[in-house]
Amino acid sequence: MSSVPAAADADFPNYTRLPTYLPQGAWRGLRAAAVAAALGLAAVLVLEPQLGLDLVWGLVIPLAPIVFLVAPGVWRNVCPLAALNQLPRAAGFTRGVVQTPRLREYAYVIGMAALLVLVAARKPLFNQSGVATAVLILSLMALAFLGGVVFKGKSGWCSSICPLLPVQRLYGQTPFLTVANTHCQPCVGCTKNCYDFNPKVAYLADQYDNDRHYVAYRRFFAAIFPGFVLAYFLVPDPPAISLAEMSLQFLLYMGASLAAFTALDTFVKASLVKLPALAGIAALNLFYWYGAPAMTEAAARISGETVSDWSAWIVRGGVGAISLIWLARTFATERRFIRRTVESTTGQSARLGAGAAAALESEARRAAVEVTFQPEGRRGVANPESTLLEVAERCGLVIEAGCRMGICGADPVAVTEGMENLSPVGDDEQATLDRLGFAANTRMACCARVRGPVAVMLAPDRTVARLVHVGARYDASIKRVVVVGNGIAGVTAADHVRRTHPSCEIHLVGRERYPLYNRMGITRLIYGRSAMQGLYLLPDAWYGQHSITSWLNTRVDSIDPAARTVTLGTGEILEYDRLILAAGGRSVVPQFEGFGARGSYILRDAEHAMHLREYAQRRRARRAIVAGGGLLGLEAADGLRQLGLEVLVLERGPWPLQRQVDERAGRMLQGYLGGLGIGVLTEAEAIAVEAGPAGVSAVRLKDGRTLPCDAFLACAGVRPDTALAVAAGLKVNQGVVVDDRMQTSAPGLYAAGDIAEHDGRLYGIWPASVAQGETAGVNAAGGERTYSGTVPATILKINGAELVSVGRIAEQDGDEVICFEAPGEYRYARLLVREGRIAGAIMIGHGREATLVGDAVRQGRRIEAELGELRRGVFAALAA
Amino acid sequence: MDFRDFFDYPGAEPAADANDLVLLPRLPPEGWQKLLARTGVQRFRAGETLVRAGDTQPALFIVVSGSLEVLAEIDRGKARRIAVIEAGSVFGEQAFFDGLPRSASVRALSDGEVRSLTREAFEVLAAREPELARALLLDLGRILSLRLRQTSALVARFVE
Repeated sequence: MSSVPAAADADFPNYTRLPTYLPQGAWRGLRAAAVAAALGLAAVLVLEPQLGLDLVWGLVIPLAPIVFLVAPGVWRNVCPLAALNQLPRAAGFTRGVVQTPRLREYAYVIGMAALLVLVAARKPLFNQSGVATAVLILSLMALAFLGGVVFKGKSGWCSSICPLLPVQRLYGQTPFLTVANTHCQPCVGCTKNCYDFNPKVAYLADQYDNDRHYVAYRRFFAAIFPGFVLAYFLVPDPPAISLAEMSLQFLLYMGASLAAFTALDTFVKASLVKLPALAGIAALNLFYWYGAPAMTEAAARISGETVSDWSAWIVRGGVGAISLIWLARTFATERRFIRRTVESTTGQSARLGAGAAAALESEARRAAVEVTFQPEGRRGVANPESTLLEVAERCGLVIEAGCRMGICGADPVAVTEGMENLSPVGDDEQATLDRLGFAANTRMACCARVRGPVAVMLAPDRTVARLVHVGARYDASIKRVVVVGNGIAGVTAADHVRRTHPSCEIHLVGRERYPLYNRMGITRLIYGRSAMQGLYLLPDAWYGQHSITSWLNTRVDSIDPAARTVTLGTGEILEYDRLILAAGGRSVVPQFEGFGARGSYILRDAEHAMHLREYAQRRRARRAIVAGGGLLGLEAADGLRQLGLEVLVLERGPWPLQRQVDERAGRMLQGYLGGLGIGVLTEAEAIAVEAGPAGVSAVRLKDGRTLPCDAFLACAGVRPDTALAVAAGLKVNQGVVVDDRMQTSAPGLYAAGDIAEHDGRLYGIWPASVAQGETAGVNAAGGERTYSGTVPATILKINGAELVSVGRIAEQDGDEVICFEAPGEYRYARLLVREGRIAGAIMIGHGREATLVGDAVRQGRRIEAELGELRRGVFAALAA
Repeated sequence: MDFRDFFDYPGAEPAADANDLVLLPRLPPEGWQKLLARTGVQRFRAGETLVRAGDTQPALFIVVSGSLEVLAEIDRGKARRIAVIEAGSVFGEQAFFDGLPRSASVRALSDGEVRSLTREAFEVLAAREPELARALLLDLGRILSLRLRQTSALVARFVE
């Protein structure tokens, strides 16, 4: 059995792994001699009764117990009864009948009863009668032979009804010399817990068997046996007492013995084998204690020598000493047996079903690439073109992730070997790498696709940050640039001011208390236990290395574009030559009744997510409702789900993710979310929150329904935070209006990110903030850069959702729509093709193909050459 | 108690319990393929430690090739082998369910390959292939329950 510890085999080897000590031929010879000796004994018993009786009852039988104790295997191999029993099998004329259930059940009992009757009969009969003893021997030999003719293996005698078997099993628990069974070639599995098969464990297995009757017969024998032996020696022989009285006395002795055993069994807390072992050893010692004088006398008679008075004491003492060693060994063996059984039971690993083999085989035929994760050296294997991020996540490694597009920079890895075996660095990834300033061997795990063996380090060296000067034109008269906003737009802007302008002062003022973090990952703060750890996107030293003065946890009170000053909440006034406004957006706060009660939240900043987590713990919240089925709403719902809450998302429209996907994809996603345990209720709008003293208790819907909940999260969208801009007199529409250079209506004042409205558009997405921040930064430093819009690209960051939406969603006249959907499968693709380009794509469950299509959309790549294949659904054609 | 592993007579039927300790015995290869598609593949070399006692990553492991040993720490720094896991077996069901730190380490005895199904991957499987996930869950539950029964039997036998 596969899960059996190898050590167990050493403890309890079966007979095929035991030594026979003598060659098979020698054992056969010994057996023939034993049969001849038995026949000879029978003859002697008839012809010379006294000598015969001395030989049988004074020598052979008294030797048997100690042989059983020391080397039972020797007896089982040479016993003449066994030899006759096994003759039909060896000679090939056994009928090999399988025992009937009844016989199997009672064989031991029959053997035990026969033993008791025959031994007791020694007193009135066999001890005195050579003929009777001869008849007994010959009868037993005949029976054993007959058993072998009829029954299979040893089940006709040796391992079933042999009267000596109970004694042999009781004494032979822990052989000093274990000799392999030489009869059974091969084993036919005739007997339960067969001694001949596994001698060291057979008695233990009997005692620990599940069948309580099976166990009870054996314990009963152990219990009565010391009393029986004692009775044999102490009860007077008939005719001194009548046969009936003798029998009664025998029964009384056995009864007392049984009572003593039962009492000990009841009151002494001992493992199962201890008492039978003690009883057996008691019987053995009683036998030799009382039997020793008779034995020595018989020996003297047979040999004709006088035997010293000490010899009985030598026998008694010797047996006693051996007994003590035997007991210690027996107890130790039982401990090993228990340990071994516990381990084999609890340590048994489940096997795979039969279908797995074929599946594993076909998997093994697929191309595979090896990725080594340092420093542990864990080696993951993946299909070629998997991203490092996918491989790491599949292998259960802890790795941060954000946008999964190489833009946020949450998942840098250091490539230590095989850099050439990774897909080349794309533009977005390059920009991110430049911003973070990692060593040259760094890649974004979500972008780098494996094409050959690679070794990576999940924590790249942050100390080698380098400052890149692009050597571009800048305005030396600019002495100080202030950036308002420490989000990705602000930090990118500051970074590009520094890259363009080596010497100006840069002040970065952030309302939040944290340095730049991965805002796209804040839903992980809801369920993750590492709080902000891992969410930071820049090394601590980054601000210092770029000579940027950062003001965290600082409010900006007002901006004066005419005086070119920024007044901080602390009262300090910062003068500037150029100002970049990147204050971002704020969540729309529902204006309905009850919102603001404890347990009602919005989600924009890391702080919000952490408060929500804290509240959910304090309140022991069970059920959350999220209003808003957009990207943030769904990702937040997933965060709450992972925190262990039941989550329902309310979506005003007919399907979730209205802004990113069409109805078909939306419904499909809804189904997937349902499978994850996130309910989405469409065409449902919250109009009020009900709250009790502990916090939110229910949400009221427009259609009159009231849904109970104990946490409410509004994800109703983000509005540009334009208050400062309005107060400063800047031109503000929905957002702060900027031109292609990201300049606002005030000269020297730029805006970027979620706050900015470019060409009538508010983006509110990370890639646009990066691009705009870059433009604003370069221009603010006196360089020249224009911004021409961003193709929106989003990935739903819910485990397994695999939903990507890039570019335009709504179909327009003249679009060619390429659409694929596999019924019953979570897989969908919808491409809008226009003028030789893909204007927009929605893809679900397409893995790498989604990246290929998405890149083609974002790059505005011409796809005429691949169009035919795209129409057939072969999106991988874009890889060329 | 079943001692058939001590008495593995040639030609005897395998122990019924051993038969029961089979994961998804009736799942066809296509079903296994869907399941395997959610797993991560990891190669190992002899002597490498795949799971460390105390690890908290809840994942179910499938041994594709090679063999592993389970080591329980008995004394500080001293470990004892408590089981051997061969190719074609599953381990880690308990941590997969309870997410508690691993109770023992698993070290490779030979070179080989394991596949692991993380909890996240299982959730994706459950959302995409609910039938399969339900079958997997019930069967893992059945296996754990069998183990509990065996453990209860052991406790009843060995503990006073």
